[in-house]
Amino acid sequence: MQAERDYGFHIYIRGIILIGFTMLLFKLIVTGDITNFIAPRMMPFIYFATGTFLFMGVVQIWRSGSKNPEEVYCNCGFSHNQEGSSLQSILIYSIFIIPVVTGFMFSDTVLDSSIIAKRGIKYGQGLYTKPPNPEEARAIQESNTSRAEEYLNDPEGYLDKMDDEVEGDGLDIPLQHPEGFELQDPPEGYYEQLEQELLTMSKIIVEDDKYIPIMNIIDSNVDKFIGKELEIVGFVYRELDFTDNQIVIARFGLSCCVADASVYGTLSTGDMVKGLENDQWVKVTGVISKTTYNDWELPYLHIKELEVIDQPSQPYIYEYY
Amino acid sequence: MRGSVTSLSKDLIGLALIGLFIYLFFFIDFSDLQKVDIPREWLNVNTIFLSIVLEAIPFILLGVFVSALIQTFVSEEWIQRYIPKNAIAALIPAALLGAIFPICECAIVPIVRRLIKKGMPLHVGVVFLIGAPILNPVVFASTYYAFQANLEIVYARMGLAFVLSIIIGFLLYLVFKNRDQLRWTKEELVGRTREETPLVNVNKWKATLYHASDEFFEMGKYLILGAFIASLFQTFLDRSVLQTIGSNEITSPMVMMAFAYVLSLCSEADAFVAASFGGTFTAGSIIAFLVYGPMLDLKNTIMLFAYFKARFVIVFMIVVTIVVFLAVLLYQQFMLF
Repeated sequence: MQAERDYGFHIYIRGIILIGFTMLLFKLIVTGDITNFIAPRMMPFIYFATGTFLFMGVVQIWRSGSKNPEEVYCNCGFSHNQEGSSLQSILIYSIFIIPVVTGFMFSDTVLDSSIIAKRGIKYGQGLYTKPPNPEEARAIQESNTSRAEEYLNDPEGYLDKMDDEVEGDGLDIPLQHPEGFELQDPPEGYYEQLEQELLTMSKIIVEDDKYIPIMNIIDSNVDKFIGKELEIVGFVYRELDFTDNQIVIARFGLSCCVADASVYGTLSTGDMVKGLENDQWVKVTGVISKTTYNDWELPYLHIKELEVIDQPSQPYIYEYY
Repeated sequence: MRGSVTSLSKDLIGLALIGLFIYLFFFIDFSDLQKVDIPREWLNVNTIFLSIVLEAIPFILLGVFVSALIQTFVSEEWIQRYIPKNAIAALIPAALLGAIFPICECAIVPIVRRLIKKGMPLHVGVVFLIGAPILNPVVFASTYYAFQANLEIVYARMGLAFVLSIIIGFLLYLVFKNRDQLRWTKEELVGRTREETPLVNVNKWKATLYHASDEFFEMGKYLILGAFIASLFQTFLDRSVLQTIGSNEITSPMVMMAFAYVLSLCSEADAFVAASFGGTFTAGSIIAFLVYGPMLDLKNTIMLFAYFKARFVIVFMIVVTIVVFLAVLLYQQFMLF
């Protein structure tokens, strides 16, 4: 009898915890803070989880009050008995309660630049201070528009570019390159169409929902975009050996959840960035130019206008495909 | 007398918990808390931890529901009838079955455990356990988008997963034959004999729901622990270290496998992370990352240890690690130019 009551109590507590999860998810969805953790395209799964938790929670609480012992046990050939002390139970339930509590408390924290130092370095010095080994070189060629092709299309332009590159090599900056051969186009022709559109503009405003495709296009065709104006929002990040007037304007890009976030950054320069600190949000307008380092061509933004802004309501950018 | 005191305190515990959640729901506001000085790194740990938990929960729920449906509606006889008697012949249909079901690596553990409890041979379960999280339409799509410029990686991932899941299943069959490797508690052993006489009073749908929520709490604690450890690695592991130790053909697959293990990403998202390493690591090591991660990772291991005998889990991990590593080396040798 006592054992049954104990078990009923466990079910009751579990029901409450399930309701707790429901409330957390509900609040995150209503306030929109859920996007601080999960990319929008995963939302159907979150709705499913919220509904399921609510349903399960209600059923559990109702089940715990049932007088019929056969309702409580379900005889499914697996242990429903909570062996172990009440201390053990407290520990186990704490495991479930803790994420609910911290979820409520810190629902609008956003990753900051201290993460970049750990995971972003792969785009920076780590990759570029070593001569690429054969495999790396192969990957690099795959990711860039083929240089041979470029040469065939426009031999003179290509040679001029090579000269520029030689000059550019004098710039001893660790580079922030946002992607290798990452993230390609989903709907047929989407990238081509967007590229055509961008090429007709004299000023490109990088909107959040097109951030990744726009930056990919500019990165892989820097030459076509030289001289155009670019307006972009991001937070400030500096590598250790940047000069005072160099910053990266960075964003975290998510494909499913924050755990897979990677850093997208635009290397920029301008005198007005001197006083800025890491993690400060800025909106800048600048002119695209190009810089080269170890065979990588990167857009290099010369900042004309800079405005310090509050953190946008949607600090992350998302992968929509 | 004592009984009534404890039941009173239990009511209080329940009420306190409800009160806590309601308080948090209505009154807590992050801006009040910003005065409290918490190191940024720990806030990052918390953010990543929550995001892994929130992302995995829907899939865990799917997993426990499928598992509960199997428990309630699939009989032992059905499984025995449809799985080929010949142990070797059963391997290939198992791998194909894995290819149909869009189940990721969080959801697969409860399902496989349930199937084995229902009498599915262990090695067939193993094929399912490691094959299904990679060989499924959703994972194929995400890998395809991430590596569109390099489709070889997509096909290598799928092909290797198919072949290796069969090889690993076969090897584990050689080691364990069909000996029971699940953990059973004393009650379960009693329950096993009692299953002959199912309770009639509880209807099947209700029973399914009960199983599902009980199993959610069984699995959930391991998932949450695993997510926490993975979030520590995500925050504090300096990824440039990986590169300095993993720059040649032999060490870099090893490093990427270890990395896939500790990151514990969902198999549906890991391709995007792998793609960001494209310029840094060899194609072989990217494939190692993509094949090994969904088969075995930190949060999975914790769940496996909870449900299978320790000796089995250790042998399983060793076999998977060696087979994937050798396969990647061979692949690099003969297929990549």
